[in-house]
Amino acid sequence: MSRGNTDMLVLSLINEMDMYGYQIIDELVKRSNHTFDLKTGTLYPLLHLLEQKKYVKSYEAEASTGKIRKYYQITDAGRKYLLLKQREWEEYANAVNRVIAGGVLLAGI
Amino acid sequence: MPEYNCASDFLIAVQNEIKWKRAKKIATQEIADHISDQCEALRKKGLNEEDAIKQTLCELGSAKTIGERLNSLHRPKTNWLLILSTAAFLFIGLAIELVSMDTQIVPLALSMGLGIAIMSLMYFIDYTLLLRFPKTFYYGLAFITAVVLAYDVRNGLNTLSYSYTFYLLLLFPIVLVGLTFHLKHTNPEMGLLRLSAYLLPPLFAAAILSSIPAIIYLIASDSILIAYVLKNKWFSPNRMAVIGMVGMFIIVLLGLLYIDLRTNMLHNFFAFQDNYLSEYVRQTLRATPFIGSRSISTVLFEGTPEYVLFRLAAQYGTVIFCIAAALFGVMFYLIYRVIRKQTSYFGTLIASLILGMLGIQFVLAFLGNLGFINGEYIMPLPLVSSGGLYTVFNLLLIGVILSIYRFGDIAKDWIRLKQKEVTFYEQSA
Repeated sequence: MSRGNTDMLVLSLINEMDMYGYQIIDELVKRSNHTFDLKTGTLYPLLHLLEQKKYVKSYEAEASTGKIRKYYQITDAGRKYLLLKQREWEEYANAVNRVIAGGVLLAGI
Repeated sequence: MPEYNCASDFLIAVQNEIKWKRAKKIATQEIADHISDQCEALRKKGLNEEDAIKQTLCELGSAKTIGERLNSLHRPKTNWLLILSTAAFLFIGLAIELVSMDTQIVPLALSMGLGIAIMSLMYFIDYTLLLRFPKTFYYGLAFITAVVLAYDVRNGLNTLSYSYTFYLLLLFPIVLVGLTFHLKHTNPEMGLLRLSAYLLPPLFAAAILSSIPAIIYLIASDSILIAYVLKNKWFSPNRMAVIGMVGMFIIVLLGLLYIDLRTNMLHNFFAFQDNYLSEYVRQTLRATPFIGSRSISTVLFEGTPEYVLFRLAAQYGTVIFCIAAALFGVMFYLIYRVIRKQTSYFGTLIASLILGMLGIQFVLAFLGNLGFINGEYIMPLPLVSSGGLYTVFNLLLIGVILSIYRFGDIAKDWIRLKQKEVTFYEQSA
């Protein structure tokens, strides 16, 4: 998974609701059926970078476990960036699909 | 088998890779929380304490890699462009003085040297101290201002440019930002009323000084501060606080009206038509070409560093105003970029106020050199002309901006961390 795509996955999750680090990893594993197992060493530097770029902002609040956690919230700039990444991904996926579909057709001849 | 036996060993290994001391704890706090969350989840799945920690540490990956990545993100940053542009302004100022020989070079060079030393010191000092000791800074500044104001009053308060109190008054909004944050946490109901009370003494001092620029600056920055806290709903004032605030507002308005009636300060400020110097400046500039000179005498303005733009324009053409506007535009843009990069409200507000301070000086210098304000109210161009306390003051401001830029990325978490420590100490006591 390239960094650009990881940005997109993380921002997509935060776009739905504010989340803290562990919650993001947990949610990503559940939704992708263990396909995307994001490492801690990748997630936190990425979140810090996204915050420096002002795509997300952080605040502290009490989590459902009762502990104080650092939550991340997407910003307007983050939403724009996410939209851009999603479009890029759609174009890429469509291109791959067209190639695969062509391959299937050829295999059928 | 994991490389580390316990979570603290892992965290220490991560912290060892982070070179910036202040960032160590901040950058690893979330990882500590993560370990705790993951251990808890594994315990719920049936693992015992020891196995849960072992598995968590195994899954975390290399502490060295995490530390290296965090280290590359969290480093003190130096705004070289701002430093270079400041140096360029100082050099231009020194060169102009050397050529015109208007002022004595040694005192000017000394004040520049002292200013650079203070700027360097401010760069290394943690500006969030303003937030942690807001009352100390406020009362300290109030005391110094009172002493200096007494000195200025004794010396007759001849011109604004040479009034030391003016510069001190400009510092109040910065200190008030720290106080506002403090009141937000300690006194949400009466905080706004208390904040309004803190705003009054500097306004009162500006009124004694009859300084329209200081009054405008203080009212503008206070209004921004109050609008900001109201927009973000930092305070929930009760009825008594609202009545108190309205009362204070009326007192300020009546006080300013009374002082204006007695001193005619508002009229004097804009009465440039009646002012001989302003009239002379306007007439000379009308006769000056865009590029080139018409040998107009500026002998009246020798020894007045505030009129440096006018004198250069009379010598080289009015293009000088365009060059000055472009150069200061670059500097203001660099400061604006620092503001945009901030992740903490505290840094954003303080950097914005400093931009306002430099801006008001620039506008007063520009308008004065064009002959559009009373000659008594003209200010020297920041960093370029004058020297003395003026240069030191502006270099101090640049130093604070450099400090804000340096700490920008971690400032918000640093403030949180320090607030927790204060709460912890208060609870322990």
